[in-house]
Formats: sequence, structure tokens, C-alpha cells
Amino acid sequence: MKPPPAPEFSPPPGAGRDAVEPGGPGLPGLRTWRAVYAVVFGCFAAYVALLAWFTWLFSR
Amino acid sequence: MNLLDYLVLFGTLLGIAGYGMWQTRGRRNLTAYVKGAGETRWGTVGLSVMATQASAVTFLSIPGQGYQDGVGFVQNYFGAPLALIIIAAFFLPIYRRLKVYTAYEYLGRRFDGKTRLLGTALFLVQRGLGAGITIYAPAIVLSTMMGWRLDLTIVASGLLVVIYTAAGGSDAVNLTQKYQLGIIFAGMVTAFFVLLAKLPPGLGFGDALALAGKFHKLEAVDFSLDLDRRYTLWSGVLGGMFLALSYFGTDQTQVQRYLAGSSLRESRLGLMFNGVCKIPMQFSILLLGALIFVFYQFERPPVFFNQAAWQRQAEGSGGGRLHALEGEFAAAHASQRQQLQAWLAARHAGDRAAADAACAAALADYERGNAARSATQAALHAADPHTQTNDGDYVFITFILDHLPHGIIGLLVTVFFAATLSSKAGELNALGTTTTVDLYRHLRREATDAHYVAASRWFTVFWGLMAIAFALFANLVENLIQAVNILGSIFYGVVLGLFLVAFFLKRVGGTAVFAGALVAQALVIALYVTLNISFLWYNLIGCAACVGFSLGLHAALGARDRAGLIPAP
Repeated sequence: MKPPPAPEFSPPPGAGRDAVEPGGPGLPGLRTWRAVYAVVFGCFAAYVALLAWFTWLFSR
Repeated sequence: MNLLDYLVLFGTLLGIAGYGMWQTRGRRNLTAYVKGAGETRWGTVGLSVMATQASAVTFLSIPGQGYQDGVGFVQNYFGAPLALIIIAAFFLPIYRRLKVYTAYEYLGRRFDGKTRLLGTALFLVQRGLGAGITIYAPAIVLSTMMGWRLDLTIVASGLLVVIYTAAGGSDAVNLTQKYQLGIIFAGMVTAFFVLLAKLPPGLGFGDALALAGKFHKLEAVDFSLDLDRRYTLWSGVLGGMFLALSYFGTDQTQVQRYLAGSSLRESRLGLMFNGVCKIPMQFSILLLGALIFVFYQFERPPVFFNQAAWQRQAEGSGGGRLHALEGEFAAAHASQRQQLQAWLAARHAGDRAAADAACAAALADYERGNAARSATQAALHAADPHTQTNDGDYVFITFILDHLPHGIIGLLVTVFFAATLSSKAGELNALGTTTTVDLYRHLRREATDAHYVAASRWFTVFWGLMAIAFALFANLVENLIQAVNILGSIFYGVVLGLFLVAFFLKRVGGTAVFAGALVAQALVIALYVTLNISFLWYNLIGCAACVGFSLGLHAALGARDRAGLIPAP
């Protein structure tokens, strides 16, 4: 026999807010999440490039 | 340490813990206890995620890595921003939409009970062991250097975190982590500037970097395709991304931190904050280690940084040999210092030929000194095979105790304990929650919220005591930070494979993924025992094997592989 499902707990204050308010990032100049991800990816690429340059600069 | 240092240490740690308990007193609702009261903003989420990952091992061991091997370890973190983007875009919305308390609860709803139990078991085993290391690692180093009793150091730091984590739940963890991280940043920045001020007259920041470069300490990026090299750009981006995907995306220690966000936006921004800050933060700590290396080129370091171990052997029958090696090391260092002063003068005079000649002579002296160091390590190991020959974890604390003023010593020792408490709190909170939600509530189905809160508190205490017991009986491993990462890499890949199948392969059911994960885990353990490749690759191998075996078994089982209850997106 299949066991009954585990009990649900009482919902937190504001639970379900995401379902009705998906919303954007709300950051100045960044209207969509894709833009936020692009900025974070750009930072990653810049860090790697800077560290590669740093390596080259101090290994001469 | 003097009275001022102890006042800073105990005042800060007890003050933060007490404030956290007072602010979060009276949590009776399980959701509030596990996820917080639903008011956590992205800044707190971001700092909490960062504090959970940054244990005392980070601040003790990583400067030692920078001192010994240079800043190349930063590549280990290259995959983190990419992983955090994937988690924010794909994993997080699913967790929040389903309103799960734990990552493994999602596995149970997507597949079945046995897959939930497998994910839970893999998490509890590896995190339970890791939790012991989180306490033991700083305790062994600090007790050795301070002359404190190891068992008392472990028990005192362990009990403090157990008390406030069990009492206040997720909100207490988030709140205390914010202030603990503030202390950590303040301490590390102070150490950085005091170190710069203590460099010899005439040696500027640019000179120090140039000197570190001459000794190959600033090779941050390695483009080599050699699989045997532990840290390369490729192992960091690929292996590191899978490690970070697994750690941040499927380890309840982290999932619980960002599910505490008051909305999807707050949770996502908290993760993106870490995506931007992680690499610069780790690089700064490694650079601190590289600069300590420069400092010790002008100020003679001990021949072996674990001075208590050296002293013990030096007073025994092999003491003559150790003192002779110390003399050789001192002579090489004195000659090297002279050559480096000549290098500095020639560099400032613009005499490149003289600078190159002095640098070459200094490097030769450095190799002589290193030979004496290696011989010392071999002699210590021969006299007592239990002596840890890698003394990298003792570099930073030696610098602090020997060269920083009182007050700042207290602040830096507080940093190590604050980091221990903050990461330990996140782990205990997750272990207690997972045991309650994914095991206990399936055994005891009809109970009140208050009952589950009480159960969660007791499970937190149980895991805390287990971690303390493990720490009390653990033996020191070669390098603490690597031990934690290796342990994680052996299990994380397979766990990530489970979640990737759950998220993206909607046809695969619980039977195939369960068997596929078990076979993949056995394969990873067998490869770890037989191969000698960078441990980061096991994240990729474990994940790929789990996904591949699951797909193969699903094809073989056909209709017998029942798909899960909740369709993948």
C-alpha cells in the first residue's frame, strides 16, 4: 500500500508571493534577469582576463 | 595573546551569538524556524551564502596556499559565477515554486522515496564528516600555536554554535553570519594593511609584487591541458563549475541559505552577489599569502612553521640534526636577503643586468634554503610518522602571532573562530532540517509544527555533538582545505547528476536514476583510489556517469522505470 504523503507545514508569511509576482531584478539599468546574468558573466570574463594579464605581467 | 586579545575574542563571539539568539527568540513555526520569517533581503542572503562557504579553513589555509604555491588556487573558483547563474536561472525558481524545505524533498516529489533517501544519505554522510573537519581544522592549528588544549578548543567552539543554531534556527544563522562576516572582512583587511606597513623600507607594493612574481607566486592562470596539474584554467572552469553547481545548487547547507530570501528576487540577487564577489575575495586572500612570502624573504621565518612539532623533536634524540638543518636554512636565508637587497637597489637604479644577476643568486639561495626545509620535514617525519609535513596551515597564524600588535592578534584569532562558527552554523542548520524534513517527518506523520520545531532543534544538537565527537577523534590530514574539497568532489558529482536528471530529463524515473547514481558513485570511488588526477574532475565524471547510467538504465527498463510525480520543467 502506498504511504500517505508527508504532512504540509503552515505556510510562511508572504508564501506564494513568487507565483503571483515573478517580477524583475529592480536594479537601475538592469530591467531583466538576463541582463543581470550578462553582467555577472561579464565580471567573470573580466576577472579571468585580468588575472591572465596579471600572470603574464609578473612572470616576465 | 594578552588580556586585550582575549577581551576582543570573547566579547565579539559571545556578543554576536547572544544578539542572534535574542533577536530570533520564540520561533514556534517550522517554516519560520527552517526558512526564516520571510523577511530576509538579498544582502543578508548573499552574506549568509558567502559565510557558509568561507570556513576558518579558508582564512587559515588559503594564505598558506598562497605562500607555498602562489595564487594559482584561485582557478578553483572560476566555475562558481557560471554555476551561480545556472542555479539562479533554473534551479531556484523550481525550488521556490514547489515551496520545498530541502533540495532532497524535491527529489522525493520528482522521483520517489528511495531517491530522496539516497540524496539525503549522500548529503548527511559527506556533510556530517565535513562538519567535523570544519571544527577540527582551525582547532588543531590554533591550539598548537596558542598552547591551548585541543579538546577544550573543539568543545568550546562546537558547543557555542550548537546552542545558538538550535535555539534560533535559520534566522539566527543568517543574522549571526552577517556580523561574523563583517568581523572577518575587518580582520583580513587590517592584516593586509599591517603587512604592507611591515614590508622593509624601500620595498613598495609594486616591488613586492615584482619579487613575488620572480619566485613564481603570481601565476594565477595556467592554460596547460595537462590533466595531472591540480589547478588549471580548464579544471577550474569545468570541474570547478560542476563542483559549484553541486555545492550551491544541491547541498542543503547552501540551498537553505538562499531559500530564506523573502522572494525569488531576494534569493537570486543574493546568489548574484556571490557570483560577482567570489573570485576577487579568494584572490585577495591568496595574494595576502603571496605577500607574506615576500615579507619572510626579508624576515627569517622558522625552518618549519609548525614550531611546536619542531620544538618537540628538537628536544629529543634527533635534535642535533634538526639544529644543523636550521643553521643551513638560516645561512641560506641571510645570503638570500643580501641578494634581494642588492636586487631592490639595482631595480630602483634601473640597472636591469645587476637586478637579474642578484635575483638569480637569490633564487639559488632560496633553493638551498628549501632543500634544508625539505630535509627538516623528512627528519621530522622519520622521527614521528604522525607529524604533518605540510606546514602551510601554520604560515598565517605564525605571521599573526610573531609580527602583529596585541589587539589585532585578538581580532585575527576572532576571525578564525567567527569563520568556524558561521560555516558550522550553516551546516548544522541544514543537517538538522534535512533529518527532520526528509527522514523524521516520514516516520512520524501526524504531528504539530511545534513538535517538528522541537525535533529539528534536537537533530541540530545531535549533529553538533556528532561533529564535536568526530573532531575530537580525527587525525590531521595533509592539507585541510584540500581534504574538505576532495571529500566534497567524491560525492558532489553524483548528487548533481541526480538533480540534473530531475530538472532536465523528464522521461527518466526513480528506478533508473537510483540505480544509475549508485553505480556512478561506486565508479567515482574506484577511480579516486586508482587514478591520480585533479580532484575537481571527479565532479564532472560523477555527474556525467550518473546522467549516462540513468539514461542507459531508463532505455533498458522501459515502462518499468516509472516517471516521477512532478514533471520536469
